[in-house]
Amino acid sequence: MARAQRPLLTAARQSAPAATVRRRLEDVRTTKLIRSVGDADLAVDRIIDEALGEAGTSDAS
Amino acid sequence: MSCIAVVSPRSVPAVEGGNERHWRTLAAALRAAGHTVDLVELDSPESTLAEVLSSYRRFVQLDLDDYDVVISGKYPSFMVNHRRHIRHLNHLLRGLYDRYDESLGRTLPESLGREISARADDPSALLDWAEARVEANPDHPLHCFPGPFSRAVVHALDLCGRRDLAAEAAVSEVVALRNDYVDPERPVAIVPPLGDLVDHDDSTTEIVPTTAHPTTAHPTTVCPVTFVSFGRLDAIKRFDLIIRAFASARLPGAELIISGEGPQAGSLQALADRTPGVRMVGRLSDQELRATIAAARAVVLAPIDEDFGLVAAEAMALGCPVITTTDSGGIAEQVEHETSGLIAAPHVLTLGRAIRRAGRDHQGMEAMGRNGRDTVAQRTWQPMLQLVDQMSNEQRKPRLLILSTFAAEPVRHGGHKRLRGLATALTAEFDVVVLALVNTHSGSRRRRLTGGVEQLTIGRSGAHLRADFRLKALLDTPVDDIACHLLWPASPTYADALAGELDRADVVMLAHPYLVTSLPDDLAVPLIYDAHNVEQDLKSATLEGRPGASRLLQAVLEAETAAIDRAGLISFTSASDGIRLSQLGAAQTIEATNGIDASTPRTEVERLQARRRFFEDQGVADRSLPVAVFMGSNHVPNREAASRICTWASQVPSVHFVIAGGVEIPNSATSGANLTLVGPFASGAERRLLAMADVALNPVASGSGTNLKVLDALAIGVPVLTTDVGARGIDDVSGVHVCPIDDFVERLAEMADGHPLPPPTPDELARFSWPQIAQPLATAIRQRLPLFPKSEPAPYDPSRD
Repeated sequence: MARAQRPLLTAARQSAPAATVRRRLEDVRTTKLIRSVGDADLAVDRIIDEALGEAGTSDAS
Repeated sequence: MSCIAVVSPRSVPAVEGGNERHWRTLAAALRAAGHTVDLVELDSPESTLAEVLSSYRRFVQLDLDDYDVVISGKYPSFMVNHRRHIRHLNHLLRGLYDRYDESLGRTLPESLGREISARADDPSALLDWAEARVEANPDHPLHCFPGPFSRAVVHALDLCGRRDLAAEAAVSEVVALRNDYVDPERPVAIVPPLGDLVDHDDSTTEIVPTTAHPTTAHPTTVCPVTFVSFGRLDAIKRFDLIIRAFASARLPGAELIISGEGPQAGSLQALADRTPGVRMVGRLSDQELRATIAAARAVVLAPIDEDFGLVAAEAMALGCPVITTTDSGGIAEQVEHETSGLIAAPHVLTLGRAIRRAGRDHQGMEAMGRNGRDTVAQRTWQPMLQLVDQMSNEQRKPRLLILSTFAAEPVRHGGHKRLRGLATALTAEFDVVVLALVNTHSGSRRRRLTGGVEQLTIGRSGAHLRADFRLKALLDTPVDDIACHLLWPASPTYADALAGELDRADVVMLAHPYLVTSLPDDLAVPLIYDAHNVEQDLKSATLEGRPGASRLLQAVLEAETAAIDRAGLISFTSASDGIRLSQLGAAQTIEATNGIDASTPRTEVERLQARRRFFEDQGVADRSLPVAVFMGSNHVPNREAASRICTWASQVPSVHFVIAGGVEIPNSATSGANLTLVGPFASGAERRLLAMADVALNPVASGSGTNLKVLDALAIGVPVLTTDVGARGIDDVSGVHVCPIDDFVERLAEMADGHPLPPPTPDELARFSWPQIAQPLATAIRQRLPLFPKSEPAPYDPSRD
């Protein structure tokens, strides 16, 4: 799956601004996340938790 | 009126450049405002460290106590000591700051560092010591200039110079962002200087069309394509890059004219001789330069990290678009890419592509030139005049801290307008500070906005922004405001800034509820909640049914409930919102509707000029139709409204529909015979887009609060056709025409059939001025501040009983 996406993303990098490419990457990550947790509300919680954890503030949540 | 000294260094030998024009035009503006102004220039040689130190000393010793206010700028003029000292900074000694050669090293022997630190609070003592040291041993390797010793001494002197400033401004954001240039704890006003190559009053005057076919006045085939570049011919301006890029553009018959003098004149002439189409013309008089620029397709400027680039402003003032590079500093900051010029990567091929594009797109570049002229025409010295006026008002006001998930400026949607308008109006009673957790990765910036508001923007952390992106992807709409309720701890810089600001705040206001949980439970000062909308109603209508919406709506409920519970006073924008907020538990409420900066109705000439300009810029063929304009941000109700308008365009061919702003358009919609999709527009173009309209549209079916876009149109004298939802709080104004969505097509067809909608009456709009709206709110807030009584209570008068 990841290998199949690579040419598409490479092409996107050549033609789109960095912010657009980043959004597309997040789209892909988010779609995979929803599939993995099976529920959009849980996906929201996961996104929030990951951000707080990454910032080292998970206790604050 | 004040007696003002404008202090400036004079280069040795004297050279007329942007710095000299900057101070000359500022002094003229201050005199025009009624102040008495002396331009104080002191020779400031800087070829050796001894010369630099002597230049610093001249300003340290300058006695300006007889003046009310002192304005300085370029180093070392800001070393003057004065109680009311405003610095308008363009640059420090760049060779010891951002252009310091790091191979020279920064480290000093520890003993020298201690000697400098011991004198860091006394510039005279530091100068005495440093000058004696250099004089005693001028050839000591440590005393090389530039070098680590000169760097350390000048940095220490500059810190002294800025320590006691009363106010700080900078010519550009680029300058304010350079390391060590400004005090991060002091707000900086960004005030672009004005040049005098063009009379700014004249530049705003357009010619009324005298021909039925104005486009024929711009023959595209007979004018040779000419590019111009001008300035001092030295390496930092990169004229060699411009010449090579011009060559790579391969534009047959095109010409590049380079004007100026400088150390690179010889080598550039040799390069020009080898490059077809390039002409070096030496230094031109102002009149010759004006004529050359006015006839050019574009001005090409590629300096490295310019402070501001007065040359670009002057080209734009002449209606000439600017092509520049991403690393040109203040010039890239002035140019809006694809709007007032082109910005390319600083390489021969990329800059060459931009030149080639300009060479082939006459109409597009002309439109960019007009946009650039509009941008420059809006600039005035007013922000500096405001800083001068503030010097005479030294009474301390209570400090009002406003928390927001977006900044008051730049203004991009209605929320920005309310925040800026209300905050600015409240400066009459408070020192207003907006602390904004903005959705960019921009670090911390403390700025003084025009109007007096202090704005501290904190860019969100990478983790926070990534979560924003992912949530937008999940819900297919931006929810970064709501997410701040959950995510603010992921941006620790915000928490630090908030703690610092709370220490100094006398009262806190929440603009939107989403940062309420960032406030401590034991908040020691009163809390006000400015409810732009009833958030749970608004967000339910826009998010319901989207994946993940229930979790986000839960966050909305939590935030809004907490804000209502904790606030001692809640301001609302419409009567219906006030009732709803009371139902949700709001006890102490006060109405503060949305407002406008000023009501300045368009004239018929302005309307005609705006129409002509729009049709020319957009290449519209049928210029006879009445125009209906919709402006909106990418808010869900606006997206739905835009979608409706795209449908109506095919149903009412007798009206030209215009959709402008950040609102997303349905994929199937494209500009057509009677539909123009403008998209995001240049800063300052809003008035022009509205001024051409026969009617402004607001066909929104949901929402909360009041629609600022309706007020904006009314303020210009444009009637508005709106739904009842879009007219909340404004439906009693004469220019507001309310009808159901299903009737819009019929009403628009009637308008096209000779039944224009009546415009508003200007007098009715007085109650929507921000100062008038804010005054009762300010009074209510002051009543909650026992430490700051607005005035002593009037003595008891028994005769009034």
